[in-house]
Amino acid sequence: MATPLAWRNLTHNLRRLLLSLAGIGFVVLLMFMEMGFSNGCFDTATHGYTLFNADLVIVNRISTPASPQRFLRERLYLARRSPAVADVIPMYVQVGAQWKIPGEAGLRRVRVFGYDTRQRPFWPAEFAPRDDLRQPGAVLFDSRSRALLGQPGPGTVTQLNGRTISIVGLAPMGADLDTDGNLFLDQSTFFAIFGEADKGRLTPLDVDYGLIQLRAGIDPRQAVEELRQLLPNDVRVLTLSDYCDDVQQYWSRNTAVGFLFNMGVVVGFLIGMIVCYQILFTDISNNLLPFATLKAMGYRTSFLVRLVLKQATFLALLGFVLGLIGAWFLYWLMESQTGLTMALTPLRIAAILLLTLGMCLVAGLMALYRVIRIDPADCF
Amino acid sequence: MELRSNETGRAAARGRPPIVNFSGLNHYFGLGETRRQVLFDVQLAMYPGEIVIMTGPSGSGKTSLLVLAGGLRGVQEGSLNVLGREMRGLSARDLVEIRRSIGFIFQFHNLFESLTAIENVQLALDLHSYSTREKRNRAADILTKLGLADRMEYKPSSLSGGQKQRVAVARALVNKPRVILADEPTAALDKESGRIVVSLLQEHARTADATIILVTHDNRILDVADRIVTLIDGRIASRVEVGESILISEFLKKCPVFAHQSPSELTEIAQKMAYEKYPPGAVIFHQGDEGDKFYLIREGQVEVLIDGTSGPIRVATLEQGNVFGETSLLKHRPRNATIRAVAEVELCVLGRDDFEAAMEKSVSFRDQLLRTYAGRS
Repeated sequence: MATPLAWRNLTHNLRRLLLSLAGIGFVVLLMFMEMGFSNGCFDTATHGYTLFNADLVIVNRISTPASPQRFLRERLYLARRSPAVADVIPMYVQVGAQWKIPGEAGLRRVRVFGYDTRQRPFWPAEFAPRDDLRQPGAVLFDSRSRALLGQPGPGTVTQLNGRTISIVGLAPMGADLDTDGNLFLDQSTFFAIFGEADKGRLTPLDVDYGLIQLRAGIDPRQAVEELRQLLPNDVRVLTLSDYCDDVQQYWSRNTAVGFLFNMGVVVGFLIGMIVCYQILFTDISNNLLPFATLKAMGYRTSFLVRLVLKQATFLALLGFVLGLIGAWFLYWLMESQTGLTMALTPLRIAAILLLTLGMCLVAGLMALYRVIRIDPADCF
Repeated sequence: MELRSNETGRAAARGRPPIVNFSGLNHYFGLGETRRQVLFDVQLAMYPGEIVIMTGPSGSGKTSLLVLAGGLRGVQEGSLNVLGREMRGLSARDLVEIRRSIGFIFQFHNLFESLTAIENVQLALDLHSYSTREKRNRAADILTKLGLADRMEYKPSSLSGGQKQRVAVARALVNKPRVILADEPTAALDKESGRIVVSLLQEHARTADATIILVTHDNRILDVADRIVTLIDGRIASRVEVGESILISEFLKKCPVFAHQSPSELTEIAQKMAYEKYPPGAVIFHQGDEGDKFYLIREGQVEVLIDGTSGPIRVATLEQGNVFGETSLLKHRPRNATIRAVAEVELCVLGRDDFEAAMEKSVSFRDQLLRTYAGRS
């Protein structure tokens, strides 16, 4: 076994090592946070949709997440004719409804889902059909709403768009950037509240989503093709995951959110590179004569190159572990405080790991000119 | 008859090829306008087991010689042979390869602060394909030999200056290189530590049959040298075979004609002497020849023969340390006897011009004064 010089040089000054790792770990944490915010925004944007109890969704062709458009309910009758389709659930959505905070004068924005409550358009157990929801003004309240909406429970009575509603139960969904929480109610209540406020546009015939459940064993892609044939082209048919991707892409293309946070990642990367370069450069500078001696003894420059890159890798890996631990904690904190989805998926962890390695290796390459230029004759 | 100049020394007479051999070597720094010659026609051969001390003012080219001998720079002009390989024209890759069989000791220990003493030594062994256990054993052996058995697991920061330099020496010696290049190895050390380090080098030169080139200004260690080579302005200004020089000077001192010479003058004369070897029975000169040389017997015996009526008569036998041939030079007369080798004989020889120059100086101060007074009258 060769003498573990890279490791020893890195670790022999514990105080400096900890400072170095703190620097790199902090940058890793920064990248995790930026990426987390960015992903959080997009994840949150589709959070409600991922709960849809559906294989496919039908939406208006010109509808966008920023300006939703309804489509004719008749399209759903057409879809129901397909032999692949088991069931179709019409879904009405009102974004930015006025929620009166119980016991306070203030109003907040909520998103309202209206559907036939004999059906089950979301898969969590709390959305199971219940008779009490069919009472006029009965609503389910999103248990993962922001605290801003108050702490209503079953029995709480308040107002939605000026109309009295009473909460009969809780169901989990979660806030997003636009809304502080969600309400779920029967379509009859939905029309009663929003039909009046939006007269002329909203009729029971206009629907926001058609949620399609396929028969067992049907390939969703094939079903999409079939339905596209069947339906006029004023609507789009997509699998649920395609639709979610679509929404995320829409937000990342049409808002600065993605760009801003990606810039944050880039800035983190650059800072990390400089920090790492400084660490490597200092170490090389502190060891110029020993390194020159190695060259005199017959070590090739490639040995020193490997040494520096090895050190860069160690720094990256150790800093990454520290940053990951920090990120795990902060993600948990953010999620519990804001209701934003902050998911540490293996893919995202791998992405940051690669970025960290890249950052340190580029720094290592930058520091290499120093070792390449070391002249063993300078020892004399 | 075999004639050897003092340049190659008595080591050459042992008939072994040099380990490091500079021949007609020139070296330059810089390019174009700023190109400056730093070494001029260097002839220098170094033999196995020899410690050569290089000395001279700073900027005289000592370091350049080390740098070239160590394969840290390519040879530009002339020839340099190290360990049997011509260094001129070698690629950088080949030079690195050669460096692995050379031990380097620098003015500073240049140890890695992050590694223990034994790990620093093992770095030298990592270059060769030893097993982990063997590396450890070799490194431990050499450190033990250098009196650091109980310091092997210490990092440099917990070692004294002398101990650190000894670790550096261990690192240079552990591969048993046959060439050691040391640059001021004792400069940073106290007298005692310096002495330990040079003793180690001396022992290594003997046991590994290695050549050690030592650049130093440290007068305390000059005595370990077999030869002292002085460089001035890129040229070899003098070379002294230390042991030889002392021996010859002592012989000369006993000879009445040199009795008044100071040690430095004697050394100078000794340096000017060349070696000649004669087989048994060979005649060094005949009675009646013109005298052109002065002789000192380095080894062996000669007999002094004077022509008698019935052939030569032996009048004396001379041996190591005796001189002959001075009378003819002093009195400008032909040889008054024939000299013949009895056994194989090695002679130190001084030419007429050098001899006369020496005589000129040998006249004592008082004699010179007297002669001056006499000249006035």
